[in-house]
Amino acid sequence: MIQSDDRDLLEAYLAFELDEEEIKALEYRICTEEDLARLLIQTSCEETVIREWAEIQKSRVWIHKLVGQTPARQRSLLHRYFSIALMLLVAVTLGYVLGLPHSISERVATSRPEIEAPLIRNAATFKEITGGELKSLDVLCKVDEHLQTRREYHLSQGILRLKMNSGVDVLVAGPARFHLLNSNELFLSQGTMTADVPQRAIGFEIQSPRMNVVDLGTRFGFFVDEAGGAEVHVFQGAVSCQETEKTTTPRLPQLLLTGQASKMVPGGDLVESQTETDSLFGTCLCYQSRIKQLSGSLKLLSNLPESVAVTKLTSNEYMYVFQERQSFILPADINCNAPVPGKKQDVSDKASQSQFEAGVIKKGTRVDVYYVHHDAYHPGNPKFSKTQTRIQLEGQLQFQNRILGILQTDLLLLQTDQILGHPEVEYLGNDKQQNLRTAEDEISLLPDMRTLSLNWILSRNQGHQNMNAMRVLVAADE
Amino acid sequence: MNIDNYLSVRTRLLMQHRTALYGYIFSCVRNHTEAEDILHDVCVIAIESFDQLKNQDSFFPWVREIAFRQVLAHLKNQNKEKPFNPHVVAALADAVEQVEEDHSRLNFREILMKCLDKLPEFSRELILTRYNGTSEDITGIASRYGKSVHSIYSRLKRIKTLLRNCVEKQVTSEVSPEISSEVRI
Repeated sequence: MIQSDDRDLLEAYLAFELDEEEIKALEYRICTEEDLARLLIQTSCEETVIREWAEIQKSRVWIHKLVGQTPARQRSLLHRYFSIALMLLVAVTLGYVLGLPHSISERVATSRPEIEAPLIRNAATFKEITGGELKSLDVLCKVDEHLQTRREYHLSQGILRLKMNSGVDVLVAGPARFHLLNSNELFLSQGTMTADVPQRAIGFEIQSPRMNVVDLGTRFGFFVDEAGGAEVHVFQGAVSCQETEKTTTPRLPQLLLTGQASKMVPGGDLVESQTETDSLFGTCLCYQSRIKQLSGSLKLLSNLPESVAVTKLTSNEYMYVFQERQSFILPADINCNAPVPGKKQDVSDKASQSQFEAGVIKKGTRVDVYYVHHDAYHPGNPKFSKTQTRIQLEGQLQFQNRILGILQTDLLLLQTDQILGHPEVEYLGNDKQQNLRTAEDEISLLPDMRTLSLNWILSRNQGHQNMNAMRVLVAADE
Repeated sequence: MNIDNYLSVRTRLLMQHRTALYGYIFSCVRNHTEAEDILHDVCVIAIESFDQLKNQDSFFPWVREIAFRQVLAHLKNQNKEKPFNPHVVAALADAVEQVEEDHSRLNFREILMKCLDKLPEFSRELILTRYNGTSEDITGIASRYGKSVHSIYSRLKRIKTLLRNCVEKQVTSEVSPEISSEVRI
């Protein structure tokens, strides 16, 4: 939506008077707000006409000085100006026909800088790896080593994390082959990647044999199969994707927004992908969220839900998990149910809450925060079944680090929604929706102190609107 | 069709859409010298490949595609290390098509020219000074007129607002003939 000072902002943009951050923010708006893009073009067209008018006035003064001004001449001058402009354009056209443009084109081609000299440069840092080895020409790469342009890297299996010099966080799942083009651009020949792009690195690009993707400030996944077929899924934000091969009828890049996915089909068309994000990027997404493993009916959300209020995120098949915060320093003491050290699950004790007792996680502790949510279909939902009024789901959730505490009751969740919840997620629709979140079914902690085993039951008998929810705090400094 | 007619069609179409094409290119590169070079290349390519255009009614989308490609190539070649946002180029390509549709229908360029002709003397002089093609910046202009930079900025802003109002009035009067067709500032 156009704001009162947008025209000034656009004029400052055209005049290079904005700083880097302002440019990025404005360009993001231009990409997502059609009326702002139109206003920029209008502003630019106005400038163009004013410049043209000023040029005509200058010529007019010059001609008047030469020939003097008479009414008859004045009337004929406008006609002359247009005739001159027309003649110039015709001259260019004729020049082309006679071969001049070839020399002009050559001039244009030669005056532009050639593709950069093929220097080897550091473009990224190899930060960590799990379950595999990264090699370049059969030479093993070490963690913290700089990765360079003009070298192909090969990951046979496992998952690794790269930090591009531009600041982009890239996860690569094997088998994968890639090489770095520069500090904000890479070429993926085969494999699976996810990228988390900070503001300063907007424009990060992944090329592949058939499709290129340019980030517009986002998190996204990119997959290239052995035959070069490619697919992009946007977890958050927006990307622009386009076929790599030059065609006679060039197509505009396709804009993909949160939750959208696109793939290249034979013939070069980009079509919507129906592939489940999990099946392609589950490994990377779990790794990125510092989740070691999910099993059973637990499903990690690739993009943040808009709301976890009652009826907003429902399923009879899945308990959804998403990371609310990463490496978050607690701004206050947090009351929770803390695991009791040394207390193992007692199979005879169904009230497994005994593995937890009331505790406090101290202010200043660095934590990862997760939200586990299950809300089954409610009456009115097309998928609601009157015969399936008791929904029982089980699953295990293993984190990379030690669990510090869980928040199960509606009161504890309510107290921490603001502090620990993700700012873009709606937790409760209104006050009437309190006292609906509980997770008092079976929750047990495995001896590794990193794994929770859930057995949650929901009733959808008449009048039951409750859902299961839990917040988990995991140590981030390990 | 003889060669003269053939050339005049190309010329007429390029002349007709030059403001929008230049406006688009300039919005993307934000540099007049570069925009002029790119527009020149676009004209050459358009003339060269005019035979590929099947329907003259779709000339603008077609030449805009050429401009889009040229701008992207220019920005990419300009600085491989410096991130640029290709989707801005694409978003503006979409936008220019809509803007040009309106401008062609409303005869925007001619109306704005008429409004510029009607500017009061000082405003006219200020615009001519600002757009005289030299590298004199606002500070230089302010110093020349013995005014503050802020007041020059404000004055230029006000002139542009008046011009926009003038265009709007003229468009309205063309749509509603009962309103005077006189261009007023």
